[in-house]
Amino acid sequence: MKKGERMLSFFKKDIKLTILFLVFIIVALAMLQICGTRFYSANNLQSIAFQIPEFALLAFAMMLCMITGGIDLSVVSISGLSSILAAIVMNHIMEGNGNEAAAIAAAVVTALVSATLCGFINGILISQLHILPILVTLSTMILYSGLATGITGGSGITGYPASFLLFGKATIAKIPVVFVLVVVIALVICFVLDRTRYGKILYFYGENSVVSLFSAINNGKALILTYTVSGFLCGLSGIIMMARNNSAKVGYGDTYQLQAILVCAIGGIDPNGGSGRAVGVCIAIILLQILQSGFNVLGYDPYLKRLVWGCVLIGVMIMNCFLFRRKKGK
Amino acid sequence: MKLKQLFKTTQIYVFIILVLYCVLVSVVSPQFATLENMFDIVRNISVSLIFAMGVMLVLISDGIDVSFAIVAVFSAYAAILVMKSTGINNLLFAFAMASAVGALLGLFNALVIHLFQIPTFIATLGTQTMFIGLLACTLGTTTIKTPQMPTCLVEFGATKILTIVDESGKTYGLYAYIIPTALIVGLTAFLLYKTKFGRSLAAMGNSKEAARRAGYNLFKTRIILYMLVGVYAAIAGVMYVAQVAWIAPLINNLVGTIELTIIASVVIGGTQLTGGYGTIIGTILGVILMRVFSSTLIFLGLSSSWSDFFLGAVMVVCIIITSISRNRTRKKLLIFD
Repeated sequence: MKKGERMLSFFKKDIKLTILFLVFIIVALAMLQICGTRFYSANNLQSIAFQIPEFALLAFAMMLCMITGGIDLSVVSISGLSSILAAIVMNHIMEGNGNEAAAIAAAVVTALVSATLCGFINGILISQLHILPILVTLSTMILYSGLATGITGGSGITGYPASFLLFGKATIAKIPVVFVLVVVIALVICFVLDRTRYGKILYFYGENSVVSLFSAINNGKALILTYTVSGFLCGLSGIIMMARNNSAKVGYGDTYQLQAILVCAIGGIDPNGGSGRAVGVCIAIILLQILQSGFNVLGYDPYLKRLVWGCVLIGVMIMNCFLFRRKKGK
Repeated sequence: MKLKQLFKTTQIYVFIILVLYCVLVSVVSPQFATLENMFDIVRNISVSLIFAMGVMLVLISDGIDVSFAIVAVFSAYAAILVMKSTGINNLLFAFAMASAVGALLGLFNALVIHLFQIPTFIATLGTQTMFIGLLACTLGTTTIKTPQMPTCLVEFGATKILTIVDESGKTYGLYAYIIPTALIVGLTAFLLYKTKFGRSLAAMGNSKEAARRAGYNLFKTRIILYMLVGVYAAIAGVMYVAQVAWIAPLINNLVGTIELTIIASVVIGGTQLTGGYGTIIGTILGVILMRVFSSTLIFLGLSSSWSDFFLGAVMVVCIIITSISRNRTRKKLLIFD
């Protein structure tokens, strides 16, 4: 097989990803043409890199659940609840002995542990009681955010140590630290999904859970692990949101909820489970951010973005429908 | 046997929780069990109940609609703009105009869902985002304050069909919202239980393939369903606007916040998210429970911000209870998925 043919078959193998990548290039070039240096300035790129992390982590959390054919509606609630608990712990320790390092460490641990626990509860309900993921996470979404609202009474918790806020603002060679963190996590997720046993199990389960059960795969364990990891990622996102906003409050990132599903669908994750790659979601996240920032630079009505975004989602789903039909026809 | 079957449904548990809770609240606070408070609850659930009826129909057909809130705002805003520009000041015209817009948006939903076989949740998520953009780009987002509102709507919002004066001279009453709400609940009950359309919804929710082979035209059912849901949303939207007497599209408490809460309250009422089953009574109970929690915790000395927590807890308990009996059946019949 010639090199060209091999390339062609590679693109044909994952046509969704190829189309997404082409769209990405076209949009990026269009931005260069329309906005030029106003868009591709160091400042603007840096602000994009600052905006991506918190949302990207939530989208990854959603992606893992969607690959198994489920959905996690509780992502934003988990990140909100964990950041509020972390803020309470941090302020408590700061008032107690004022040790910044201890307070930050305790807060981070609190956020991650509580978020992981929330995800674990989701996983238990879904895998052991065989309740629909959408039903479980809809209930726990209300439960978790209700708990967070109850604790805070709806108001924000502020007043963090300066070194914690620095985490949200710090840069290495002009690249935000949080962005580097998210890139590392994205690489790990790509590796796990594509190259490990757990990743294979995840796709297998999403494709057909009964077959995976009869292939001696421990479905329950895989599901619990998935939702727990999803919770962990939400906790991480909660910490980043807290550091960037200098406040923890119920309702931060509410719009991310549906956006995360949107990005996964555009990134080529099949809502019925079993297909889609992490790379696609990464491209979709960056695409979303570029469009968002481009619309800001051009000074368009911010709602026009919603119209475009909705059309893109429906368009992608229609395209999937035709691709799928053709495959079925074969 | 019948009693045993009753205890397999969620409604009965919701009913028990609701009754116990109401008894508890009325013991703690005599203010709760007054006619005034009942009227207040009726007033507050009217709009949610209409949304819930639409959501229930969609859930029974094995779909999920998250676009109804924006459809409500879109059609109410469009109707008010038309009324302002033409000078027509008629309540029926407002409802008719809004319903027409709602039906049109619903038709779009139905076409997207049916023609391209997109999962309903994703499809309506996409159309929701699209409608938000469309609203802002075509009609604009200018706030219409109370003085500029068509007077018939404001009057409708303040009309009471029953006024009672208590000993201290305070007047309270039953608002006119109950009339459209009661009509829509009645219509939904009739459609769901007595017509071929209602039966085709349940059949479709159980198994699309079986419904198709039984001779139901799924395309027709979907079109009627989503247009109906659009009309319901539009009516609820007009009522909401009449209630608050001003409208600022996209900066209100509807779009992006109430969709999942309404779906949750319908699910608490026993409607299956997997489709095929749902009752009017259950949905009404679910909506009442949600409203009672959010408005009466204060009587128990708890801040009303805990309401969502209790709602979530009730929901988790309900889904666990119903899952236990279902899992027993699964084991018996060797169902693995």
